Parts: sequence; C-alpha cells; structure tokens
Amino acid sequence: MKKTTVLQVCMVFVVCSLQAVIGSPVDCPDQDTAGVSCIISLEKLLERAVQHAELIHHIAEESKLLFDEMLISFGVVNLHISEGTMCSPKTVSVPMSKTEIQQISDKWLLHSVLILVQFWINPLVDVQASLMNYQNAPSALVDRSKLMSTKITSLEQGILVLIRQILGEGGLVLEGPEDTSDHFVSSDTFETVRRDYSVIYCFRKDAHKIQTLLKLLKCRQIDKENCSLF
Amino acid sequence: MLCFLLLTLHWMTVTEALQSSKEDGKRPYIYRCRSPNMEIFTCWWHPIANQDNITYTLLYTMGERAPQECPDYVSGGINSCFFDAKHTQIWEMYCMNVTAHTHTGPITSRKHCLDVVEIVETDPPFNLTYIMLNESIGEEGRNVLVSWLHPIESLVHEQLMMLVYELRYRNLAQPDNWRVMERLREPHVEFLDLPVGRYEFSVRCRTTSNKHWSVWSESIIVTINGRALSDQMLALILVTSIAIMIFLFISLGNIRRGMCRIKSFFLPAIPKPRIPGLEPALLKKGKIDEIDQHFSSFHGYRSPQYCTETCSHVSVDTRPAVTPSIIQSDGIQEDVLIRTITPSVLIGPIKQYVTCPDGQQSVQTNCTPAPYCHSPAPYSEEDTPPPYPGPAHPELTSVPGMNYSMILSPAPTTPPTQDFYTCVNGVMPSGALHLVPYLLFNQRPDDEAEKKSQLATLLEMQKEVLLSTIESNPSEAGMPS
Repeated sequence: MKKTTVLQVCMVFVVCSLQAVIGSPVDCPDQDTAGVSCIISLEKLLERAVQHAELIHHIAEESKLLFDEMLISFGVVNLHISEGTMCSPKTVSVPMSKTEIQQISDKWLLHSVLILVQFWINPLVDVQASLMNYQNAPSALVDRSKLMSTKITSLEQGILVLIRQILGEGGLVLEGPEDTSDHFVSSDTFETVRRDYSVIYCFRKDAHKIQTLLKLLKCRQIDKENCSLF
Repeated sequence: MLCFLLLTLHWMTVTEALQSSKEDGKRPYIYRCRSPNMEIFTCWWHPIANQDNITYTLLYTMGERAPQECPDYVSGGINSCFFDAKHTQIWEMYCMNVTAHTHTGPITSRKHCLDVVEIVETDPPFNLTYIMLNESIGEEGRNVLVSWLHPIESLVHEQLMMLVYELRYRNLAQPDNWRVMERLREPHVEFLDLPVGRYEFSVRCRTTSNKHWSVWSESIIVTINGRALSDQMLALILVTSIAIMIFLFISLGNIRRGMCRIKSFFLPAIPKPRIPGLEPALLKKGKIDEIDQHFSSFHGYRSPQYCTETCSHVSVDTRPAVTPSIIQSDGIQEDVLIRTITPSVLIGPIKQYVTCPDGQQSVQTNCTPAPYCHSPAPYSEEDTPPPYPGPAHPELTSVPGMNYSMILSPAPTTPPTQDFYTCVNGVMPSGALHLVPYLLFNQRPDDEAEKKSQLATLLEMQKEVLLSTIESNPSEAGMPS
C-alpha cells in the first residue's frame, strides 16, 4: 500500500513538471474573459526595487568621486557645500531607533520612498543636461549621470506598482514638487558647477536612504522576521 | 489511480501537439521574445502560411492599462516588434497578440505574456583572450589564463545584471570531448597544468534571474607546445643521477686508495723487521710448537727448553779431579763436611746434566740464557767480601743438614748473569778459607732466589757455630756441635 502511494505521488510530480515544461511560459487568462491580468509576484518586484536602489546608490557614489576629480582638474579647490541648505526636504526623516522602526508602517515606508524618488527625478535630469554642456567633463561622469536619471525614473514606476499591489491604492501619483524645483539657468559657470555638485552630493545621501527603506520593506514583506535597519 | 494519471498525461501531450500544429498553418503565432539587457526587447511571430499581402498588427497591454500598438515593426526585422527603452519596463507583465488582416477577416493569435527580466538573453561574451603563465621547468603542461569581456556594452552595472558564465573547451585531438566549467562568476578562469596540445575555448553567459543562455562566443585556439619532460624522460634523469652518485662514491673511495699508493710511491714505508719465510701473523698468534717447527729449519736454532727446579739436582761428572782435602780432626765423623777449597786446575768445562721437563737428560755445555737454568758460576777466592769473578776454580760445597753436595765449576763462557760467587769470610786456623756463598742472580725467579738466600743464611749460621766452638775449644777444631 505504501509503495503504491509513493509511486502515485511520484507520478503526480512527473506530470506536473512535464506540464510546466510543455506549457507556455506564462499562462495568463484571456483579458476578455476575465479581468485578471497577469502580474509579477511581489517577491520579484521587491527584489528588483532593492537592486535598483543599490545600483543607484553605487553610481551616485562614483559620480561624486568623479565630480571631485573634475573639480580638481578645473582648479577649483574649495567648493564647500554647507550642510542643510540644498539637500533633501526635511519632511522625510529616516527612523533610527528600534521603537521608531517598529512604529512605522509599510504605507509610510512606501510613501516616503516615493517622495524621495520623485524629488530627485528632475534635478538629476537637469544635472545630466548641464554636464553635457561642460567643456571637459569626463565621459564616465556623463554616462553615470544618464544612468542615474534613467534608473530613478524606472524606480519610480516600480514604487507605484508596489503601492498598487501592497496598499491597493490605484492611481496614486503624487505630483512631483516641480513648482519648488529650481530650474534656474545661471550664466555664472561657477554657480552652475556649484549647483550640479550640490545635487550629486545631496542625492548620494538620499540614495542611501532609499536603499535602506526599501530593504526594510522587503524584509518585512518577504522575510517577516525581526527586521531592523542595522 | 495510476491509469488515470497516465491518461491525463497522454491527453495533455496530444492537445499540445494539436495546438502547435494548428499554429503553424492558420493563425499567426508569437514564437520568440528576447531582451539583451532589460532595457529593450523584441518579439517575433510566425505568419500565416502560404499567404502574402497580409498586414499584421501587434497589440500589447501592460498590466491593466489600455492596449497599445507595437511602437516599431521594423527594427527587429520582418514579422517582429521592437520595444525601445521608453516602452520597456520591468515592473509589469506584457501581454500581446498579433492580428492578421486577411481577406476573410482578422485572425488573431494566441495571447502571449512575458516578463522582460525573464526573457533576457544576453549577447555572448566577446574579446576572448588567453595568457600563458608560469613556464616552469619540469612540468609537463602550462598554466593558461583565459579572460573575456562583459557582453553588455552600455553602462549597465553588473549589480543590476548579475551574469553567470559557462566555459567549454576541448582538445582538438578529441573533437567530441567537450569539457565544461560551470557557474563561473568572474570573467576569467585559470587552467593549471594544461597538457600539451591544441585547445579550443568558448564562453557563454546568462543572467542569474533567468535560465536562457546566450549563444556561445567566438572560439579561440590555444596551442601548448611540448617542451615538456615526459614521464620517461623524468625516469631517465632520475636513474642517471643515481648512477652518477654511485659512481662518485666509488671513485672517491678509489681516489683515497690512489692517494695512498702515490704516497707510498714517493715516501716508501720503512719495512718492519721480518724473517723471510715467516709470517708475522704466526708469531702473533701461532702456538709455540708451530713456531718451533718453523724455526727449527733455521740454522743454529735451538728451541727453548723450559727447566724447573730440577736444575737444582745436579750430578756432576767426576772428571774434574778435584780432591778436596778433608779437614778432619780427631777423626770425629762429621755430619757435614766442609771441604776446604784448594785451588786446583781447571780441568775443563763441567758437563752439566740437566733434567728437563720432558724427561730428557741432555748434556749441554752452554746453557742458553733461559731463565730457569743457571750454569755453574765462577767462584772467587778472595779475601775481601766483594766477590769478583776471578779465575774459575771448581768448588765443592755442601750444606750442613742437607744431604747433597755440589761441585760447581765455572765454565769459561759462563754468561755473566749466571754468576755464583763465594765470599771468603775468614781463615780457618788450619789455614783453610771460610767461604760463604754469595749469590748474585739475575733474572731468576723469586722463589729460586729466596731458596738461595735461605741456603746462604743457613751456611752462615753453621759457620758461626763452628767458629764459636773452635774458639771455645781449640782442641776440637772443625768439630761442629
């Protein structure tokens, strides 16, 4: 009796695996008949979001170093960025203590990340455009700024999909703070350089924030263990 | 239960076969979609067979949004749809179908859904190169470092697209035997001790998130030349070196001997005393009988005769006419006669019978200077005690209390070590000399000397007694008490 049961179970496995092999890659139901569309699993989405955030942070670090080298080559030695003047809005603060982390919700996490991401899309696009106008900007820096702006836009799409899936909120598109962004075009080269440098300098910090928050979210959603920021 | 499962399986395979056969002919069919780097992708479909002048439209949806038409029908080739970076995203699924606008009406294909990340099929790695390493003596093969470049040309970081490589190689002498190195994470690999031969290498890669491998890259051919020492050579070298070492040892030993020979040639050794015809070893270890045998062949050799105290018992030939005058007084019989000694003429050598351990009584005139024999010693007839070997005179002495008498006659060729002296102690009233033996022995055994000394002391005592009696009673001269 046992033997036959085992054999039957094995046959079931074989059949299922065969079906998986023979069948089409994704069997989504027809859109006409059922309103259910195929979606990518939450696990994959979160993993891709974290990867994007890590990549963006890494490229931001490299961009800052390249910019420093460029400034040295230009002969600009002391381009000091005063803290707190032009960096990210203070509305988004990262919780530090364990109690704070336990108190914040997934909703808060997602919205915080979305705010941060949307805040930086336009400045990065501007920096990319500005760097194209430099005379001797290194190509590595230009490529990286391009990649940063591309990836941050993609990440925004991802966060929106996540919000839709996790929170069930549809169509929540926060209008980016375009009104408050500074699209000034300064004729002063020094000011332009200073602004570009400050964008990259501040964005590096926020990229780390985004990465941290997304990792925490992933830990909560997937691992569901004692997740902490440290 | 088993039968049911088998039937289900059969039905599924049949259905699938039917469907695929349907797709070939009557409906367009999206058969392949591929993305090289997650930023763009392309899809291809099969058209309806045997029909020309048909337009196809591809409609796709992203998630729940409204359907959109394909942005580019050209860039991917015929019957394809190309999605550029603006239209590509990785957060939502794409579902699409192709509609063929025929004379009879539109024919729509099956819906095909995809996830961009999972259709990534990267370009193969390029710029495959190799470096020969580590040319060491004594090793058969060489170390080769094979490296290649990341296939993604645009600056997409490795973090976003983790690539896994697979390298295959074969010895061109065995073209069917491909060997594969799997799960390589770095774009280089080192081969240790690759044997001599010609090898072909090629690489392919895929992203970690999906299972589609790229096509194999262009191959490179690596030739490893054999400067190598084969096993036989190695064995030969080993044997040769051992033989050389043995030869060296032997020659060193021979050199030592050669040096000795040269030394002896230039500085000949002083020969040790040798008796020709006699081996020195025999003298060292041989028995005395054997030595005697050898020596007896030599001229003038006499084997040593070992004598004991029987030498003391001497019987002397009567030829030497020694007529001691006997001092007699009053006809008293004396127990011990003390004979006076008168100088007489030496007749001749005394023949001395010597009894030797072998029982043989041999006569010899000369005793070899054997330690156990002594020949008659000369006596002295002097007044003064210090004896001096004077002219040889026979002497007959007797010891009081001892029942023997000795006539000792010195031989003319007595060896000086065998002297037997007498000292004149005094003169008897009758004019006779009172002689006291003075024994001068050389190389005598101690017991013999002791005996002689005892004899001497005894004689001394007797003479004193005699003197005292003579003094006390002059009429009874020569009468011992």
